[in-house]
Amino acid sequence: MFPKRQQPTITASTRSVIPGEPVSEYYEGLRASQIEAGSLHAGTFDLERDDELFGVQNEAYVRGLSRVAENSSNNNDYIVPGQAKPEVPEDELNERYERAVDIVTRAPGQLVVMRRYAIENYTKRDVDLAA
Amino acid sequence: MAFFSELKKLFTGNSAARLPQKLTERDCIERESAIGRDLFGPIPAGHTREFFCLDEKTWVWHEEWRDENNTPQMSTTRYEVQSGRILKVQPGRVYKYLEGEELENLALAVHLYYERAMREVYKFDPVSGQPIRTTPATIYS
Repeated sequence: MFPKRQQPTITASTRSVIPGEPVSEYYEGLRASQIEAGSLHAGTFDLERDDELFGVQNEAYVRGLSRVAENSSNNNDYIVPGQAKPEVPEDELNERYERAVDIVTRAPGQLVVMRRYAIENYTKRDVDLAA
Repeated sequence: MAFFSELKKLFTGNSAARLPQKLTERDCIERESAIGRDLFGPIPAGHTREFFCLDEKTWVWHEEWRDENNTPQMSTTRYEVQSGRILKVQPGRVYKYLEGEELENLALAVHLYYERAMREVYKFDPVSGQPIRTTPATIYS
């Protein structure tokens, strides 16, 4: 479907990357397949704003999502609703913070590289067919 | 002369219409955004939602809806990548560095967006970085 061409190494602003270089390994244990598409919700980003927009019901989605995220990185150690969360050691919190920032930071750079590659090599039809 | 040009079209077709349309950055963002808005489940009636990567430093979440007085409302939140931190910028000069659950949820959404955009828009495997090639199904006898 797409032009057959050797996949190039594309130079990003800071270093060379291959389009699609995995972000995944920086968020170990969390795989897209573990979370069904559509299970996230707009309010997952911000509870306060979420309540204003969508009402209290949305909090359930947020908690649900949080549990999915935690379960994915904590070896399926499920949290029972209403039970106090176990205290997370500071080291682990820091590690999780860095991992999350890393994902949010790295993905855009790689997407931009991928877009440049697509603009050079694909037509609109290629992308429409792909979608 | 018009007859000849029509006759020529019969043989050659309308060449302008047949030229492959060049892909633009805007096209890419639109197709990615279709994935981004799907990540968060059903969109309430009357709402418009976009979530996309704008550039190397910015994620955008945009919502439009009508309030109880049927007045159009909208809200745009930008997530700016800074060195080692993510700044959330909301209307009314509200700035906040993300942390904790909110940051992890954004990371989760970004992760899913990235994986799906790579696979569904660009047909690249996000893990191996290799193009996904469609191969005919194998028939075992």
